[in-house]
Parts: sequence; C-alpha cells; structure tokens
Amino acid sequence: MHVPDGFLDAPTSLVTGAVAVAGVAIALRGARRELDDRTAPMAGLVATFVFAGQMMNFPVGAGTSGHLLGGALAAVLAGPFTAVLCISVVLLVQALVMADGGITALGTNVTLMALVAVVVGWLAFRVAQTVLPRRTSMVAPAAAFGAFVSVPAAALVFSGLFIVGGTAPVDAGTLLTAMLGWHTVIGLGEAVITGLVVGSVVSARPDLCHGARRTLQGRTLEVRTSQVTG
Amino acid sequence: MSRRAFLVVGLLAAVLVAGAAVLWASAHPDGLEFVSREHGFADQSSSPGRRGGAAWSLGGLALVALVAGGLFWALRRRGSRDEA
Repeated sequence: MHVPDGFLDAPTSLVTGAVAVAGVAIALRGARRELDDRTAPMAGLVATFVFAGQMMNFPVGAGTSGHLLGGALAAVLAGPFTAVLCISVVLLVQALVMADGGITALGTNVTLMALVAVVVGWLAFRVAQTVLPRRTSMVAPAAAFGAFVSVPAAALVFSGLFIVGGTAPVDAGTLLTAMLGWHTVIGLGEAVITGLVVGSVVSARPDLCHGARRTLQGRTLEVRTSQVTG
Repeated sequence: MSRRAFLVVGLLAAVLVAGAAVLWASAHPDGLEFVSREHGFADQSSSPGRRGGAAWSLGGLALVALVAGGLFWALRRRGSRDEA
C-alpha cells in the first residue's frame, strides 16, 4: 500500500505530513511508558520483523498481491505508541533506501500505515479482547481481528485522500469499492500472519507481548519448590 | 525460553522472511498499485521502482534493526520496572 510520489497533490501531502509529524510526536511521548530494559529490544525486533514481512508479497488472485502492513501486529506486541514508531521507522527506511513509497508521500504513508492501521488495529484488538474470554489463548485471535480490520481502514483513508486530493479524476464510488474490496481480501492475509506471529510469541514469552499483559495479571505466582534443585 | 534466545530466534525469523521474500515474494502489483492501474492513475506516480535483491533487502533490514533498536533503547525507562 505504499503511496508513490505524484499520486496526491501538494496541499494534501502537506496535510498528511503535518498529521504524521503530530502523530509521531505523540507516539514519542507515549512510547516512553511502554518501553523499558526488557521491552525495548523486543520493540526493535518487532520493527525489524515488520520490515521483512512487508517485503513478502502474497498473491490474492487476479494478478494482485498483498503484503503485511504490520500495524496491528506491532501494536499488540509492542504497544500502540511504540507501534507507531516501529512502522514509521520501517516506512522511513523504505522511502529513503529501498525506493518503496515516495519521499514526498512519506507523510501520507506514515498516516495510513503507522497511524490509521495501528490505531484502528489496536482499538479493534481491544474491542475483541473485551468480547472474548480473558485468557492468554485469546490474544492471538483478537490480534488477528484487529489486523483484519486495519487493512481496509487504511485503504478507506487512502481512497478519501485521493478523492479529495488525487492528481487524476476518479469516480469516488468505484475507487472506494475497488480499494475496500481488494484490501478486505488482503486483510485476511494480514489476519492470518498476525495471528500466527502473535500466537508464537504468546506461547513462548507471553510477558513480552504488550497485548497479553492484561490476561497475565490474573495469574498468581506459583512457587515450584521441586525445581529449585536444578 | 530466555529473553536473549527469544531475540535471537526472532531476528533469525526476520532474516529468513526477508530472504524468502527475495526468492518467492509475489511479483504481482499490490492492492493499491493494481487499483491505480485499473483506475488509470498509475502513471501519476513519479517514484522509481522499488529496490529488491538480497543485498538491498538485508541491508535495509539491518538498518531498521539499528535505527529502531537505537531509538527504543534511548526512549526506554531506565532500570527494571515494577512487574505487574
């Protein structure tokens, strides 16, 4: 979903640039509460994994492919504020080094993938968590739901931006239908990948998964004296 | 699994996914690119094509690890937190 240079006009790109700067500034403040000696390396790993995941385009049929956006994945694993920074670093390196996504479109891409996908993905995850039983095994399904919702949400915002500030005339209805249609299918892939990755992390180290902490709080400390003589 | 082992396994997984992407990622246009072609605004793009290949991909991966790792290490609260 990387927007190249030239798709959106200058005023729209300036607005998304300002939104991106404000969003990253808020995230820089909020992430301090999510990061400590234990979680900071984990957050760096999350950004690295999302960068790799975004390169792995999977076919979705009819000559089209999709790839992980990683917003919901990063939010569940590292916390929503840190996730904004994770995805922003990924997009920055992609734009400046990999020529993936335009440099003048960086604000747009941060807005779509680091702000919209992360915030919507995180909120949908939290909604799913309140509906599902409060168990650690429910973290991955809730994350998958957040991931699924996050992709069409970003596609919806792109469509809105293009209808307002696109550099070519399009029919709003058909653009919305096409973008939402394809990105709902891609969202299924996003959900599968996010569910599998979050499930793996939760089964290995649930304490390193930000979104699993709430479910761990109910656990009581168990002292297993038999393991002392190890 | 110790935290160090977890991080090593995670980094290996990221390298493997990046390597697999170099070899097997779908070359089809992604959702946005496909829609832009269908709706006749793909030509509005003035960006060059995206860089691929193992060297760029793994170099980019290392750069993200360094930048993100450094940023988060600098932002973290010092000392171990009270465990909830």
